[in-house]
Amino acid sequence: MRKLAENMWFFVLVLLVVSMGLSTAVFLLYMRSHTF
Amino acid sequence: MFDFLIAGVQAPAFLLIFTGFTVGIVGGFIGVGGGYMVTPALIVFGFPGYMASGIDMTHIAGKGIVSTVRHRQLGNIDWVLALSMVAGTMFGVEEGIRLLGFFKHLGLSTIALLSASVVLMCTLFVYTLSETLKSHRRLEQMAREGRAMVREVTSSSLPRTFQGFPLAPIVRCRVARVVVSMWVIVLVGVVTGVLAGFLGVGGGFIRVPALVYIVGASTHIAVGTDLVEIVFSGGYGCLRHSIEGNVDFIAVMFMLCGAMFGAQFGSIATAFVRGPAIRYILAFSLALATLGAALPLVNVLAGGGLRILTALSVIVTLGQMFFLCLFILSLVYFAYRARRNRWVPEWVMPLLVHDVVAAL
Repeated sequence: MRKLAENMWFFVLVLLVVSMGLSTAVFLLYMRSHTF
Repeated sequence: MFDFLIAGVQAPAFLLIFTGFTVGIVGGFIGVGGGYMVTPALIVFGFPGYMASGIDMTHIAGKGIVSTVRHRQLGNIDWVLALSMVAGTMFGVEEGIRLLGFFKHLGLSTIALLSASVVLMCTLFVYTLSETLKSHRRLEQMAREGRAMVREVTSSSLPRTFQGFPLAPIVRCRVARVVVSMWVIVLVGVVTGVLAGFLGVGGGFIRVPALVYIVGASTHIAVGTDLVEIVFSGGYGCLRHSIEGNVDFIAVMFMLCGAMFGAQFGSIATAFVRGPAIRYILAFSLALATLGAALPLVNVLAGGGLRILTALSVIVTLGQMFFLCLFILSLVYFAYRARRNRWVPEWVMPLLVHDVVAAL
């Protein structure tokens, strides 16, 4: 936790990667049953 | 899976509650309706575009009321400022819609809309982020020197220029502690209204920076006051969409179940942070929204052959919702740790209000 949060920009990057991962997972789940 | 009979769609109800909750947190914290995040999310859940827009607008009206009540309790609303802006905003929205109609007539509405979104949001992002970084550095310096720290620090000189505008009537906004010409407030309402009407959004992400950098209100007051505007614009949008039959009220109720708690959480969270922390979240929101609009713009300019870019835009927009929510939750968690004298990162400390009761 300390290592992750020590630098603001690194912390922002980690949150961004986690969020985009979650969002991609939701989108791919949607793509299984629909066409975009 | 829940059967939404009006929309003719089957979708998991918990996803709607979850979306309402996350967007509620973000909306209550930075003073936006969150339409630019909710509509793509609802489309991903299977709702048709027109229905997504109607459900989104109706839920924004309900959520706006919850956030407004909370911000009123926190003393973050300047009613003089809010009510002075309402007429200008409504007039501006109507003119913005007409302007969009003009571009539609020329057959350029998509390109004009996306280009305007990208240019406007990118400009706001660059200015907000650079100003917030300066304010953050100033707060860090104040903390190092052991000086008493106030809740709001801005480094922009724009408000002083606009407050010096000598055209009567001059309005005294007691809560915002601003003395400014009524015409400046009305002009801010009209311009932000035109942009909101043209872009088809509530306009919170334009109005909050405008209230901070042009009128000179503190970020907390700008957020609370903007939410009052959102109640009016969202209420009008809700009425219009309901008449058109674009609203599935069961879906709205599910979203409001989450938003009721999220909006209160987001509004209360503002009491734990100083102005620049809210502006950081706003700046990141603008950056991701710019990316979300730039991808489909490239697709349109390329002749519509790059559909992957539209899919990526949806992923970025959904990701934005998660990212902003996680950042706000992290700030609240750090504030909780700081109050218990536990370790928190050095950069966060100046952004937190340690004595929440005193700050209120």
